[in-house]
Amino acid sequence: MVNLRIWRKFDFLMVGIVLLLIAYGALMIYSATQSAVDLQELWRVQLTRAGIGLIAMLVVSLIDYRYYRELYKFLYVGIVILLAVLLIAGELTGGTQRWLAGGAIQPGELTKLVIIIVLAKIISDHDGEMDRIPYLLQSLTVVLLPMLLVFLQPDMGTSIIIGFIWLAMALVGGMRLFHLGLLGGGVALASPIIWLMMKDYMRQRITLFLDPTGNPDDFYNVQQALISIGSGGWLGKGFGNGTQNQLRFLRVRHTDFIFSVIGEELGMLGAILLFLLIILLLWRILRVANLAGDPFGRLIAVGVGAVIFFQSFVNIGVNLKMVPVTGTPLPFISYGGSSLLTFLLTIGLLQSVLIYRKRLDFEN
Amino acid sequence: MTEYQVKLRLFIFQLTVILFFGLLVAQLWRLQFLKGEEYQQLADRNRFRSVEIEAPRGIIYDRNGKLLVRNRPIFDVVIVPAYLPDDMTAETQVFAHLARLLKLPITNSGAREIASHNAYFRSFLHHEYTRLPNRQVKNSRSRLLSKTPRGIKDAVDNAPPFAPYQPVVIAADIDPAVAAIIEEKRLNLPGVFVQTNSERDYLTGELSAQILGYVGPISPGQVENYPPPIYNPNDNVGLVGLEYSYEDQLHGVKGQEIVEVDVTGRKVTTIGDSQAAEPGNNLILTIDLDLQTFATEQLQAAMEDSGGQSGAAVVLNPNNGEILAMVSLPSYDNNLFAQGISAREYSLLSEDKSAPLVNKAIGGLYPPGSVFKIVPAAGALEEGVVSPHQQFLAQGILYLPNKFFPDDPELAQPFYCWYREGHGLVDVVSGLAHSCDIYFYQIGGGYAPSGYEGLGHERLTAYAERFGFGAPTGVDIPGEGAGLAPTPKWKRLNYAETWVTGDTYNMSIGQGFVLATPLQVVNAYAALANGGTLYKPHLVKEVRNPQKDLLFQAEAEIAGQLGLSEETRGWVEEGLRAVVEWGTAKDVINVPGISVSGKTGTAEYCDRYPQCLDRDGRVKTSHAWFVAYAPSQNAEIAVAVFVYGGGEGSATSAPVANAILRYYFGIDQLEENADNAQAESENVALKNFTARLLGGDTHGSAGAAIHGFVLDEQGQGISQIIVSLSADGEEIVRLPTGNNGQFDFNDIATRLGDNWQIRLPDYPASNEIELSLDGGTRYFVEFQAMETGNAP
Repeated sequence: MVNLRIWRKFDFLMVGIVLLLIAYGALMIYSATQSAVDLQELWRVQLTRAGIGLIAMLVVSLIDYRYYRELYKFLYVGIVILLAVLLIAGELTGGTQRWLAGGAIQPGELTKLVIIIVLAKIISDHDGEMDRIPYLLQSLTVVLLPMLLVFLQPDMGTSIIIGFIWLAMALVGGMRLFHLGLLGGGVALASPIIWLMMKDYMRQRITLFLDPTGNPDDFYNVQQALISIGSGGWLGKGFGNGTQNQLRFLRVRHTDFIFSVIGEELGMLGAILLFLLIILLLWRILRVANLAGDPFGRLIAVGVGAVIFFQSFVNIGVNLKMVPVTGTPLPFISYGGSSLLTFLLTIGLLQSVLIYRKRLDFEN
Repeated sequence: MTEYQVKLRLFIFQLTVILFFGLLVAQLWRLQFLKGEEYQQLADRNRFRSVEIEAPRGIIYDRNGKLLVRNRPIFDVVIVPAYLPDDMTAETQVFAHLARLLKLPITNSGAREIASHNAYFRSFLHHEYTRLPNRQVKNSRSRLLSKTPRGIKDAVDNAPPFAPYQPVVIAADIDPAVAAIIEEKRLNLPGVFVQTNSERDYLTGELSAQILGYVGPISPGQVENYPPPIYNPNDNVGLVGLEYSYEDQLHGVKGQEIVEVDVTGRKVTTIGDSQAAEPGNNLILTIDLDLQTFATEQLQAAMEDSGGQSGAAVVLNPNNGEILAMVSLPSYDNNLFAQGISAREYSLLSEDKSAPLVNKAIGGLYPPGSVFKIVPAAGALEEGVVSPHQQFLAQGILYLPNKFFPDDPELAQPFYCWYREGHGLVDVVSGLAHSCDIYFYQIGGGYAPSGYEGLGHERLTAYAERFGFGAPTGVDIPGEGAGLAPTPKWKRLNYAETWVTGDTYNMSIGQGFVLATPLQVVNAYAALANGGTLYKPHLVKEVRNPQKDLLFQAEAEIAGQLGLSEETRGWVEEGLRAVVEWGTAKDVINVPGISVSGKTGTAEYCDRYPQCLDRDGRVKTSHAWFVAYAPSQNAEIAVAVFVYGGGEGSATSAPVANAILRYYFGIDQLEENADNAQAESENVALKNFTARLLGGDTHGSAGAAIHGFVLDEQGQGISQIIVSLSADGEEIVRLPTGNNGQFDFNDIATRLGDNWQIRLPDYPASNEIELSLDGGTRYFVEFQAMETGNAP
């Protein structure tokens, strides 16, 4: 295109893995929705959105990532206001509000992206000083407000993911392990007080989260997921032949439980293939962190890696009954426009980090 | 932080990734290998079900092959809550769409307080309205029906919690056309399904309800009487009538198949070989539907004219006990029970004073009155108590002297004849002919002042029992009463009084304690008419399997012998002949060319004392009886007609019997038929029919079958209309419709064509029915004439 050197730095392998994951996902969405008349076209919708998302990714990858450094305050204030408005609107109408603009965008997904940029800016400003408690607490404070707002939505899953993003970025940014222990101990000590301070409905959300038998729907879903995966065996029952999937015993199978469809129809082979693709992607993402020209770029890569890793693990963990049920989609695989778009944007951001790492480029 | 530390931490991150994915792999391995078998079994348990295939219940025909009961396919609309859209707006759209189609409210919470002001709502409370099937919300398996329609949303909200896959019945037995629309629109109606079931359809309703009975759910206390595998507790079984007594024949044998089901429990495919259901066997009755219809109309008219509150008529063949007609009025519509009767409707029926649920022909116990007189007559002649020509002077009143003061006329008890003027000198023939009470008092109870002994109560009871009184006849439907042939012991036990001559007097004229059912009465006369054999009356002539093979043929079953000499019988019969010739029924019975014998009866009863007395203190309310058989020699038919509170037997019941006899011997039909046929053919020629496929169900035989009706604008069947069945345009068979417009094509070889047409060749403007036939399936079709004016 305009500048051949730009494309030389572009990580085609990473985008290739992403394309494979999206294709894998669309294929499984197709299999998961053939038995429900009203859902049969979803795989096409997903591919269309992937097309739009890929263009957005290319555009983002051409914008110098350092530009966002200057914008971080606007981004942060913007997302906090957005979350607060949604929360108030939700309280007023008596329902929960996780959707924006008639359901087109989930602000929770957008929040992750903004938090990665904001944290990267704040931590990189104090590069090498994160072992000091004031700076650590500053970064933590920045994260706590959106975490709380998201938790109240209620979207406990996203709230935890944001917390994990902070943890991963702070650790790579230089947080002392001693402080991590201190923080863990502090939370453990404070938890009874926090528990007492919480309102009843908040406690209910946490107990439901920790004890799936309290929610018969979740319990049923996980039980069916285990049956699906367990009955899949080595090679699975074959694409489109999963009885749990095709006879609809498995629920929310094209979104949160799509891994169970893979486990049932393609067996351990399909699941390991998925694992390898995700690990490969994470390797490419952490490679960006290694290659990044500045701490800001490196921390962005760490944040993106953290969110993709954490969400993948939590989603698959739910399917395998290792993690309590959260409505967390599997990156690039689960059906869902906001999630797919957000993850493609993060990939674009990483490409931008690669393309605009000027200093190192000259050194090479 | 040094570059090295950063790289180290990134490396640790990578290790963490590997470690955590390692955990996932370990869990995957545990699930898929260590516990793979177990989960495979759980997956199979999810999807495989062993399900019963309902066996179609046997069909019932009258003696001429006319269909009385069929199995009608019914359609229920159910919602599986789990498949409703998650979005509230979309869900409400589904409800609204369904509400329009089913004419049901979405919700009626909040509508309660204004219910009485709301005509739409009130209309559901109306008794008749609720019988319109597509407006009624009910659980067809339950008698606890709600009269007020639940709103669709209310029904879904009230579904059991934590069972989102359990279908909720929204509307039962909806119009097949609406069912078809819902099936067509199922893409717009996620979560809405149509379930098909089968229900008994009693085509003749009230006309045959007392005979056929009905089916209904097994009551909880009876479950152990209907053991698996033949039954399951949700089955419908025959509860009353032939449906009950021939339950073993009718129910069939359930089939079994292993099916793969989806999460809603709907069958996806059949796995392996299924064991087909064997349909129940069909009953062919001794009843002649036309005669039954005619007798019902006549009895109904007689009841209305006389003000009688109920009535019964039984027609049977005296030579084998076949019952040709059995009418009990008022009757009820047994379809109400088959559809699941509401508590309100049931209490209306069961609390009705005229007891429509009781078959009065077999279960009504009434004083027989004068029709009982053949018993003392036969007994006295046979025992030599009286000689055929021995005469008694009947002065209209007989004074029975007091037992302890025989010489004090003041204490004597008067016994009256119905004819106060007295019949003069009376022998057995004129005694029967005029129904002279004085004659029967004396031959039954004797007369002390003249030293005449009479038959006496012991022998009277013995002869009553020979004629079948006091014991059930053994007819093949439940609900039969034994009646009562009283004995001194019975009186002592029930009244703590001794038997006196007056009791014998009363019994001799069929009053007092003696009670009989109309069936017992007609059976007694039939025994006399056939030469002295008491048969067990029956309603089922043949039982055939669905392939039409004869499984059982009813034979004349002898219940006893009268044990009368030829001579005795001759004299009694002559008396009964005289009743019609010149006696109490002389102007009423008129069957040209056929000699008829009979007996009138006017049995006094008193339901409400003293309103039943007239000014002279005599009982004025009476039941009207008439019993007849014809021809007098070699009788073919015996008839008993009873009208409760109908007054004089000769005035109320005898004309009904006369009409039945005339009908049976075809006196009136010859001319009428000629007229009707002409009128009908002119009328019908203008008609233009619309064709409808009503539905189908499975039955046992390999071929397909088509059952249908040709109806006029009012829904009455039209006979003698040619119906043609063609395969791919080539005519296979044509046949005329039967008396109630019915036609049946059975055992159709489906390989003869792909597209089948049923049409009325004589009415080319009518549309035809096109269908593809599957073996083992029974299709129900209907041609109905369009309102005149549409005719070409």
